[in-house]
Amino acid sequence: MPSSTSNSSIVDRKIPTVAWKGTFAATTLIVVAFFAFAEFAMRGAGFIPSIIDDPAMWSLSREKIYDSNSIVLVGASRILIGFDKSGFTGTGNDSNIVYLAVPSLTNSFSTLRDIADDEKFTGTAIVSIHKSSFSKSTLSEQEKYTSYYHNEWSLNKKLNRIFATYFQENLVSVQSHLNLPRIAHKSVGNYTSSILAPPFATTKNDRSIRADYNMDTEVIGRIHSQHYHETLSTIEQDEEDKDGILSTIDMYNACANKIRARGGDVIFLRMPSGDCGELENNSKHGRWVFSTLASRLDHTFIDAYQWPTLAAFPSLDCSHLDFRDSKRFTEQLSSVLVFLKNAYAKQAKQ
Amino acid sequence: MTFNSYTFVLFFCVILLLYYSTISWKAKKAILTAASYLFYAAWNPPFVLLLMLSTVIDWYSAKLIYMAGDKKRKHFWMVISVFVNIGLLAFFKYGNFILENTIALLQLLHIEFQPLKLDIILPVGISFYTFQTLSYTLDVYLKRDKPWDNFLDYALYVTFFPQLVAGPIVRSNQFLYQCADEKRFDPRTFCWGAVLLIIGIFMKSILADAVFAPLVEKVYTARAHMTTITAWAGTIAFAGQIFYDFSGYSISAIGCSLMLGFHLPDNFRHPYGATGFSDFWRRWHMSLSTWFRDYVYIPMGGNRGNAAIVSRNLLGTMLIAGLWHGASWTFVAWGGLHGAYLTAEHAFKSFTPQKKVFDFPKAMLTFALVCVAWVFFRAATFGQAFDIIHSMLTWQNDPSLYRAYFSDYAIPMAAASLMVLYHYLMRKTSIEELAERLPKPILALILSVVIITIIATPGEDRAFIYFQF
Repeated sequence: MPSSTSNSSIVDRKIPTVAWKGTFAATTLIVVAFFAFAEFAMRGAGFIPSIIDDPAMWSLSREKIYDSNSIVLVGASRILIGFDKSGFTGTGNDSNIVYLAVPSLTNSFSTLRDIADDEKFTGTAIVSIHKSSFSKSTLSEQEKYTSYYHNEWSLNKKLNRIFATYFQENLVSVQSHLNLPRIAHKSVGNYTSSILAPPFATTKNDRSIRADYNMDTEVIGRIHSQHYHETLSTIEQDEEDKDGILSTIDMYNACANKIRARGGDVIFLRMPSGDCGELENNSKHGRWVFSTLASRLDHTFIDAYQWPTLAAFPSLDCSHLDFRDSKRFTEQLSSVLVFLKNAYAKQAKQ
Repeated sequence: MTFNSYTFVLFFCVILLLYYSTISWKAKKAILTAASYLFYAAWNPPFVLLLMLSTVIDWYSAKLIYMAGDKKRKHFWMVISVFVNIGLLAFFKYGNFILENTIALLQLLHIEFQPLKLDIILPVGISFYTFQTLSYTLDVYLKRDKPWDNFLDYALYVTFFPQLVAGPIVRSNQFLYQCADEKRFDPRTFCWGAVLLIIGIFMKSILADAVFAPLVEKVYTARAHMTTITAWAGTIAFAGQIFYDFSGYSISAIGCSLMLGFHLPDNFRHPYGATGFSDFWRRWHMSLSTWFRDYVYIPMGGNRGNAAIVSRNLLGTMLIAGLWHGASWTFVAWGGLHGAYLTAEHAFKSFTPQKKVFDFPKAMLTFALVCVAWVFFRAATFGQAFDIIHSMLTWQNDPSLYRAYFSDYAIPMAAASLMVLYHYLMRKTSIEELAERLPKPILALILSVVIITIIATPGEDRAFIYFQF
C-alpha cells in the first residue's frame, strides 16, 4: 500500500498565474468566430439542421403515444424515411403520428412488446417488418431504447434532450458532422461518403428522416451495391430456422392481440425496397416467409409487393424511399388502409 | 444531472449567480447545501432521505463519540455509525448479491430457497457519501479530529454537489476548515476552475465516450472468436475509457468547486506513468486508496510484521476495495489481482532495479499488468474474462479481421499511445505547472479547440462509469 505521504489535511492546490482575462477573451473570440464561419459555410455547402437521434429522443416520442388517435410507427429506418405524416389521411381524423421506429436496429419486437404491455396505449401501431424481423437472434435489438425509457428516463434527461433538440434544429454546426473523432475515424476508414459532403439523410424533430438520394449518386450507387450483395448473401441463411420464425410470428401476434383487446389496432407493413425486395420475392425462402406471414399473422398485413400502387415506388439504395416519394407513398398507403377498413366493415356486416 | 449536460450548465449558472450575489457567508453555504440536495434529487428524489439519514446519524454519532466518558460508549456509537453506513451499502448495493450467493450456497447443500426477488435500485453516489461520512466519525473516534460545531457546514461537507455522486472522497479536515473562512470572488481561482471544468467535460465526452468507448463495446460485446490484437486493443481502450471517464469527472468536480472557492484534493496523478503498483495506487483514485490505507490497511497492521502478515494486509485491503467497486465476484477478482501485484512487488522490492533507465520499461510493464486486471473489471462474467485473457496471452491470429477493424482500432490505439506517453512524461509534474509554462496564445488555442470539440461532438448519453458504484 502507498505510504502516508500523499494525503494532506490541507488541500494545497497551486493556481496557475496566467492572464486569464486575455486568455478567455481570445478563446471566446475564436470559438464564436469558428461557429459563425462553420454555420455560414456549412449552410452554403448544402447542410441543413438535423437532430441527433438517440434513446433520449426516442423517449420523448414514447411519451406521446397515449392519444386515442395515435398512430405509432414501429420498425426501423424504412418507415422513418418512407412514411411522411403530411401524406397520411388514413382515418380521416386528426391523427397523432408518433415515430417510434429505431434506425439501424432492424428487429422491432422489443418496441412492439413495450407498447403492447403498456395498458394506456390504445392507438394503432403500424409495424414495418422485413425478412429479418423474425430472426430469434435479433429479437432484443431495440431493447436498449425501451430499457432506457423505463430505467433511465427522467425529468432531468427530458429537459436536457429538449435543450439539445433546440440547438440541433436551429444550427447545422452542432450536428455530428463536425464531430472530430468521427472525422478522424472516417479519414482512416474506407467509408462511402466524403467527410465534407452534406449527409443525404437528415432527421427532423419528430424523428422522421428525410433522405435525398439524388444528392450523391455515386455514393448511393455504392450503398445500393452493398445492400444488394448483403441481401444476396443472406437470402437463404434463415432457411433452417423455420421453426424459430414461426414461433416469433406467434410472439408478434401475442403482442398485437394485447393491443387489439384494449381497442387498439396493429397493422403489419412490408415496405417496398427496390431490387432487394425483388430478390426476396424471387427467392424460395423469401417467398416462404412472406406467404407464411400473410397466412399466420392474425392482423392486417400489407405486403407492398401485393399492391401495385405501393410496389411501384423505387428504392435507389435497395432499401429506402427517397423523400420525394415518401409523401405519395404515404398517400397510397392511406388509400390502401381505407380500402381495407371498408372491406373488413363490409365483411363484418355480411 | 451530469457535468456534460445542458441542465447542469443552466443549474450551475443559476447557483453561481445566487452564490456570488449573496452577501452573508451563512446564506452562501445554505444556498450551496440546498443546491446540493436539489442536484441529488435530480437523480431520484426519494433517495435524498437516505442522504439526510446518513448526514444526521453521523453528525450525532461523532458528537456522542467525542462526549463519551469511556471507551465502551465511544465504541458503541462508532459501531452505530458503521452499522448504519455499511448497512445502507449492504442493503442497496449488495442486497441482491448477498441473496444470490446465499441461494447458491444453499443449493450446494441441497437446500432449496426461493425468496421474493428484490428489485433494489442503487442510489447514485451511495458508496462515496457513506465512506465520506464514515471517515468523519472514524477520525473523531481515532482522535484525529474533533467533531465540527456547525451543522450547516457539516451538511455541506456531506452533500457538496460537485463531489457528491462520484468523489473525490473528501476528508472532513480537508473541507470543514474551508467552511470557516468566507469565500470571496477570486478571478484567478474562478478562471482556473472554469478551465478544469472544461477539460473534465472534454475528457469524459470526447476521450472516454467518443474515442475509446465504441471500441470497448465492440470487443466486450463480441460473441465471435477474438484475436490477440483485438483483445489487447479492446482492453487498452477500456483503460483509456475508465481513466478519462473517472478522472474527467474528478477534474470537473475540482473545477466546479474552485469556481465556488473551495479546494478539493486531486484524485488522479497520471497513473499510467506509474513505475510499479504502489506507485500506481498513489496515483489512481487517490481519495479512495488513502481511505482504504487509513481505515483498513493501517488498522490491519499495514507494513508492520513479517512478509506473510503484510501480504495478508495488502490482499485483504484490495479484496475489500474490489468489492467496494461492485457487487460481483469479478470486481473482487480485480481487487485480488491488484493485491497480488502489490504483494509480489513488496516481496521482490530488493530485486527491483531502481536506476532511472529502467523507469520506462517498469512503467510499460505496470501498464500492461494493470490492463490485464482491467479485464476482470470490465468483463460481465468470469467466462468472458478468461476468454479475453486467453486471447491476450496466447497468439490468436486472423488477418481478415484486422482489415475490417483497422479504422476501429487506429484512432483509439493512437490516442492510448499518446495517453501513456503523456502520463509517463507528466508523472512528476502537474497540469497547473504545465498551464503556467504555456504561452497565453497557445493556452487560448488549446481551450478553443477543446470547447469547439465538445460543442461539435454531441454524443450518446453515456453515464459516468463510477456512477454504478
